[in-house]
Amino acid sequence: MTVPDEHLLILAAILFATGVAGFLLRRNAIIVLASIELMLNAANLSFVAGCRMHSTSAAVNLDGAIFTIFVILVAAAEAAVGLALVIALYRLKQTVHLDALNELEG
Amino acid sequence: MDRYLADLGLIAPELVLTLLSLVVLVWDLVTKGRDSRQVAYLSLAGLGVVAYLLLGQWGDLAATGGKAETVAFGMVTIDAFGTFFKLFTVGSLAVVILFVLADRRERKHGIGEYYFLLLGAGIGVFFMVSTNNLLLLMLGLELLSLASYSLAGFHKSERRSAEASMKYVIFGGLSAGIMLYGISLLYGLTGTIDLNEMGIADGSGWPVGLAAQFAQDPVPVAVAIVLILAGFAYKVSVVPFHFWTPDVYEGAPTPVTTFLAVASKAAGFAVLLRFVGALFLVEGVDSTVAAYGERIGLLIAILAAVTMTLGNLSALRQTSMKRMLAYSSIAHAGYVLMGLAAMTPAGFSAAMFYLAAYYFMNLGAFGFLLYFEGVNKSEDIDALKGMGWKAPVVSIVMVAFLVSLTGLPPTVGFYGKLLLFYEGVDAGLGWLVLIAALNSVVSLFYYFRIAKALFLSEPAEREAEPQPFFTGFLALLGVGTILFGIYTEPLQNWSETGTDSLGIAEASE
Amino acid sequence: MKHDRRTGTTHIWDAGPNLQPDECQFVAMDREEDSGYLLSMVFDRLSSVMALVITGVGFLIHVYSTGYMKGDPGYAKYFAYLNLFVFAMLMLVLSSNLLGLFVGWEGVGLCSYLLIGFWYTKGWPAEAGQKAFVVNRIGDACFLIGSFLLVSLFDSLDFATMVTGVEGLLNDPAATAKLTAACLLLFGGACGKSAQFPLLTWLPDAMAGPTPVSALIHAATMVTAGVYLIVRLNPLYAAVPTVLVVIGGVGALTALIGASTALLQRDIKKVLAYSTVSQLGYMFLALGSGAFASAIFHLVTHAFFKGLLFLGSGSVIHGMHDEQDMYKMGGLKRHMPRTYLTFLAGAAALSGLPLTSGFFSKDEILAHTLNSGLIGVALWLVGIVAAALTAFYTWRMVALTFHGRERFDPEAVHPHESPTSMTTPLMVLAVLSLGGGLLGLPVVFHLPHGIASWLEPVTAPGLAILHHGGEQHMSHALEWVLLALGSGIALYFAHKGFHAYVGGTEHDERLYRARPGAASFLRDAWRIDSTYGRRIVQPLKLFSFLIATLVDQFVIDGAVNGVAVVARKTGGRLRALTDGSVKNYALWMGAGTAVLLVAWRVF
Repeated sequence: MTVPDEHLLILAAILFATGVAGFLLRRNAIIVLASIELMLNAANLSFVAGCRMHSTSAAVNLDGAIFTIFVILVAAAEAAVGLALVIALYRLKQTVHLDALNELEG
Repeated sequence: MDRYLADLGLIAPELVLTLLSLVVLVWDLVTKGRDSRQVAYLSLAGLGVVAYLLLGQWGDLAATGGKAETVAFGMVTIDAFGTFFKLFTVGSLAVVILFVLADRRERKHGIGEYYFLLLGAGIGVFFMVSTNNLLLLMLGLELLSLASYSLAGFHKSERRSAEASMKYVIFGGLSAGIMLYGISLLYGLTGTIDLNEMGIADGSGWPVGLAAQFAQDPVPVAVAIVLILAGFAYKVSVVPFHFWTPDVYEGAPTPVTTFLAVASKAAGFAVLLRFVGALFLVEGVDSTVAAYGERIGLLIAILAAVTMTLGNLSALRQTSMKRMLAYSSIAHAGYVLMGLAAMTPAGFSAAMFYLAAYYFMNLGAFGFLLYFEGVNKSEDIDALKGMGWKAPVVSIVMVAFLVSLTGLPPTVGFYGKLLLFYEGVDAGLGWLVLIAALNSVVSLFYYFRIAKALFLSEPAEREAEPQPFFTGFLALLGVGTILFGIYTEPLQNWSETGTDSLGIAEASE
Repeated sequence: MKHDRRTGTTHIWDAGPNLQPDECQFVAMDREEDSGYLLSMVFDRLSSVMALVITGVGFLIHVYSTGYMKGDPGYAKYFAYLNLFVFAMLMLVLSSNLLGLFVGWEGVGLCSYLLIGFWYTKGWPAEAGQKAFVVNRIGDACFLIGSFLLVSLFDSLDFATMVTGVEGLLNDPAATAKLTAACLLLFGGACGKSAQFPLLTWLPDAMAGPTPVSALIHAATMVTAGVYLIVRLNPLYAAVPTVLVVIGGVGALTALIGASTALLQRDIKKVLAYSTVSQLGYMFLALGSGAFASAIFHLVTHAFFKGLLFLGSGSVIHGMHDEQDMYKMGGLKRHMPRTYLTFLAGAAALSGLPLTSGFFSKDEILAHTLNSGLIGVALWLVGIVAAALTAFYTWRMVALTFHGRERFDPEAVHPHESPTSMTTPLMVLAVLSLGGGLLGLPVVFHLPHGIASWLEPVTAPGLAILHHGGEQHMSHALEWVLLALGSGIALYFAHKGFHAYVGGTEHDERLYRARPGAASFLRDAWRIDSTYGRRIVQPLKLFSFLIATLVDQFVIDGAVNGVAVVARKTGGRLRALTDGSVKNYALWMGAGTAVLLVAWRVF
């Protein structure tokens, strides 16, 4: 049994929407960063689906698959920087709540 | 193999810059950060080599009309357009490094990674401006972003710096997510990640061109393109993707702010121009696609109008000069968008000219800001009162920058704006030009508040300790601002060569 | 002719396609694709005469100024302005097109303004300068509109193009109407610059400037620019004879106004100023009768003798410690003999005593006027009357200044002769005033008429159109009669004028007693200035005051300030958007993306 391409895309869209919703609704910096990871992974899934759609038994289109690998890499780097900053924030403010980011405005 | 080596020659500037950043990192580790100024000098020397290589490359490209050469299996595109931005990036990196050296609030040792991060961001810019491949574009963009996040939070023990960095990371991540999802959709629709192939493929075979997609169902393509554009819009701080800008600019160390406002933003525009040009305007593009291109142009025009108006109006009430310059940079993004919205080769080259002008006047304005942060220990405009008489050269030069930012003659900003207005009218965007002209008037209000504070108040009691090197350097930028406003030919030629190399077709009626 | 494609510049000292064999042209900033020259100059016979007057008389006046302005704190500034003036004036007469001429025209206007107001700290010179500038604005506006009309007719402002193009328009009524309007408007410009009625009021006030300036700018060169303009465009004017009639009428009227006003002035420079107005009127009278060469002839002789008289009066003022009132002079011939003798030469020429330069040039104008039809006879009569008045006031001035008893306080004032640097130019100009007539002897002498034959290539196209190819002849007998009549009138009235005033100022007092109304009417220049003041300047000031207070302060400033207030308020509100909250920023970004997606569908 093969999964239809559309299902992959719909799953990706759901993942993306979940990520956006998480970003908008949650106030915890770590969860917000996780939501971003979710969005990036939605993109990954979508890439893989595209890869599958455009490949035939004769020719394989690997662009999407390669893209996915690099996105994972970028996601890891972002998470590293992001979490490091969360730690810095915690040291300064003893909280990881994003509402604490309120000194710069106007 | 020979071909591969020849390719390496073409990306020599990138390679040297990468090597330089590694040497800087290792040097800093080996010397344990005893005197970071040595690292800065090394970086400057290395940037000199890169600039030399780029100039040679520019000469070769200009001789052949700036035409593109692809390297590394088509992933890197070396053309006059990219080299134009790379040259300015190297220039502004050097300026920012000088700013770090001149920054009185910065430590003198143990900050070697400052320079490493700046060079890293430079590598990101180099790759993102010279590729038609979305993968490499994304990697360049992320490299720039990651370095910028760290730079913005460089003073991580300062609350404002940390906050700026955190906000930057969060919104950077959001926009990266949005953009990558858009790219994945575009890939799924077309089967390629090469912009050129998307633009001109006729749709009969593989890869599936945009024309066929638009003919079939425009909605998915539209969603994909809008999502990608939103990602770029974030990078160049177009309203309403600009909210991070004032906060991050204010919180980040001033040299970093300079880098973000100048080099990073211009690179974002380079990508935006290349993306829109390759998809909708390139020679041989399908007429359906071109029609959608016009629609994109209109959308961009509306964004431009909103961006410049909001940027200028918000700048009016700022008390901090740093924050004011942040809003000013948002307004300028609106002006540059005008050239893009024209959707003509001439409009693109006007946008490039304006970006070149933008390098000069903003580097100068931020340099002035840095100078007086050192003198006043404050970013407030009120703190400048009467200081014009205490630091006359810097202040007079600042007035030149302000005149240029407002867009008055005889400065490079004026000529750039003139070109943008002209091309806007030419493309039938008279209403947008009118809005831009009114915005320029509004901008006069807040720019000249600085001039007024400097010169139209009683001379201040405090003295400004002379910094001859820094002063001379700012004066040099001021001379450039005026000189290129009078002798506009070289910049104009360069931007036209750059635009030509994108292979954009002349509009056919 | 070499054209440099790269720089787009041509440097030619060569005969071009439209040039006479003895002309040369200099072109810079050639823009061939626009079929016109941005900046090009022609040195032909007419410009050569003008250039010689400007540089020749100009040189003498510069020499004189070194003495006159000695010790003035603005010495360097003065010469800077004076040289800028010479530059602009040369630009005016050398330009090969109307646009370049206009640049020079405005340039001399600017220098005139600067030099009239040279002693601006005194107050009234500054006002006089402003008046000259504003009155000239009216003329210049006419000039510009006229130029626009000419562009619409000829697609060019190049003199050569217009001169050759005018013949093609002669039988086209619409074009002729347009040409009439254009010529009238240009004449309006000339009226401003050359102080003709109704724009003559600025010239007497312009005497507030240093006297050498009055000599150079307000007698010899700038004020004759209007005459030059019309001679330069003579075929155009010849094509519309009605305009010529207007010009002749205005010229005669101005000659009369000027001459009659000069009768009762006390200020020596005012006499000369009104005299200049009157002599310029003669030049326009000549133009009106189609005697273009005679106008230039009179222009040249006038430059000599009026330059001389102004410089002489300057010498007197200098010697009298800045006294200009002739009632407080008298008997100066003993104290300043060289000034006196040269002044006599100038006065002889101005009053038209026989064989002086002024005699020949004025006589020639009157003869041509008489010969130009019925209206011409009427204008000639006016001209004769003005000539009589001229002789009278000239010798009144000589008598009051140099003869009779000394009416100044010998204790306070010690008149002295001026230095050599000032008297030498006077002597040179005296010789020219007396002998300048040789440039254009009457036809009856059977000797070559220098100026007329020299200018023949320039005036021929105009005369051909005016006289339809035929020649105009005047009987020699009539000409002899006119010469005799002119000599007689000049001699008689010079004698009367001299004798009435040689004893003192009582003659004026008798006049004021006998005919107070008429006398004060003449003294106040026919009350033109005060009428303008009452009817035009005052209402205009009131109107401007209303505009400045009501419209500017409330409507315009209100709008500007209103916009500023609204912008600031909006800015304050927009600032609140950036409230620092991550959640709100993200919502805005999301909303923005959504709006973009919707907008894509809508547009």
